[in-house]
Amino acid sequence: MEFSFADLLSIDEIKADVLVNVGDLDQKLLTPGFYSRRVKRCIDELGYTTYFLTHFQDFPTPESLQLFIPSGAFNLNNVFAFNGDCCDVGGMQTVHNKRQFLMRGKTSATQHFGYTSRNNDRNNDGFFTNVVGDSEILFYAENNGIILLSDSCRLYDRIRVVFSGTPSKIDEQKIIPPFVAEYIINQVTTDALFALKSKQPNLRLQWLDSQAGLENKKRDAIYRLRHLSKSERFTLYEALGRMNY
Amino acid sequence: MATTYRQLAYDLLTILKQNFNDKEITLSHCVYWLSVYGDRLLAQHIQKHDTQAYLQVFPQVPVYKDTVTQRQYIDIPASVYDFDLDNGIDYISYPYQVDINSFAYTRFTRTTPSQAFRLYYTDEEKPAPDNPYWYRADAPRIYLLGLECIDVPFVEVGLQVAFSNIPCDLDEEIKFPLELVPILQRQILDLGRFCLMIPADRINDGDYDVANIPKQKIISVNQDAQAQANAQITE
Repeated sequence: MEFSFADLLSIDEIKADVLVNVGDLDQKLLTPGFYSRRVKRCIDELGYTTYFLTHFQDFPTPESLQLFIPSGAFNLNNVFAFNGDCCDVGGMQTVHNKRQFLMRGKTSATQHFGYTSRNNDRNNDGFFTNVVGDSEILFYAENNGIILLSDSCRLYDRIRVVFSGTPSKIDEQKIIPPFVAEYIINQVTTDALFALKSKQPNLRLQWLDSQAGLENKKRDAIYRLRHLSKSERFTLYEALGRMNY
Repeated sequence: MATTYRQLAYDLLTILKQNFNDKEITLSHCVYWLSVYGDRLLAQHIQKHDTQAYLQVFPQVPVYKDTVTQRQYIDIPASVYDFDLDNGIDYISYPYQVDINSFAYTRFTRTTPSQAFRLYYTDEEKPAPDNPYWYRADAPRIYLLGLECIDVPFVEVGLQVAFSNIPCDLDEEIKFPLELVPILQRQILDLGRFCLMIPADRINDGDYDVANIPKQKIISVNQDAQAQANAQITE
């Protein structure tokens, strides 16, 4: 579902409600940072579940053909190789994923480490047929937070990586979509009361009250984030309706 | 009409009939009792009621640096009540020179030396100039955490100042809930009556008469028991 950047809520706007709910208006029971962290965790959890935030980032093709996944990124969606720069994209190619493609990188044009993979054109394996050579197709694999690019990617200037983003890593104050605010307020209130009840057991009742409507709000929040927009749905209906696939 | 310390003290002295030259309870004594019982009643009042009527703001408290540890601290400018969670210190913020409403934006958060280590585990809670903390140690000091990289000459402090910070001028209006004045009077009168009932250990009337010097220490205010004790000694 699309939303306007101008409508995003800040962490402080969420805290304003949570502090009243918890009864910690002067923030002497829990620190301001605790509330901020819980809000960030909550929006991150929604991001991990729904992938509602998509980022892309361009990198110069690394000499070693190894690209570190940037902070705040998870769940690679697409990798593209192209010539030019971000303002003049030319000769774009999709970089496909190759299973278990592992290599130690390339330190120079002359030094060649080679690679291993289930499907390797140098592997004289009768099981695999119709093997495409690594000079003909661009591919990558991910291992331990590093994107390993095939040798043929060297022919392109830049690599564009599209990934799901961790919302709290955005360097902006306003990161909360308005239609999940109710859930986040409820979740952070519950978390705060849970933390406080270890010192004040009488808060257990409030914690239970806060938990009562949590599941419904969480379900609504996930549904809203995953829900396709009308425009996207209509386009999909039309594409599927042509039956020419 | 506002009540002053002098009015209250003289009223109590009059009720206790201590308004002659050789009175046993003096004015300063009475004012001291006022502070002792006033503190107790005011502390209970503040804890029971969500009132800021007795909050005193010190807008420019100087920040010092400990010469040994280089830790920044302030000295509490007045006595405060030792409430739970250090609630006697209502807030500490950057001074009004930084921002006219600094108390409403960046406030120092309370911590303790033993709890402060946890704060450094996460970026959100880590002490920093935009997320500073304070803790009490080495009374009357309040240490400031998170200001290590900046120099702050002053901070603003809001304190629940103790009633016993009685000003030198007894004609000032008392800063005390007026509905509690009768209770304060009653408690001091009880103490005064008790004080006057306790007999002196020695009689010193200035007369050098060996025969009248008491030879028996009074051991009880119960006259009958005293008489019996004296009779036994005489026998």
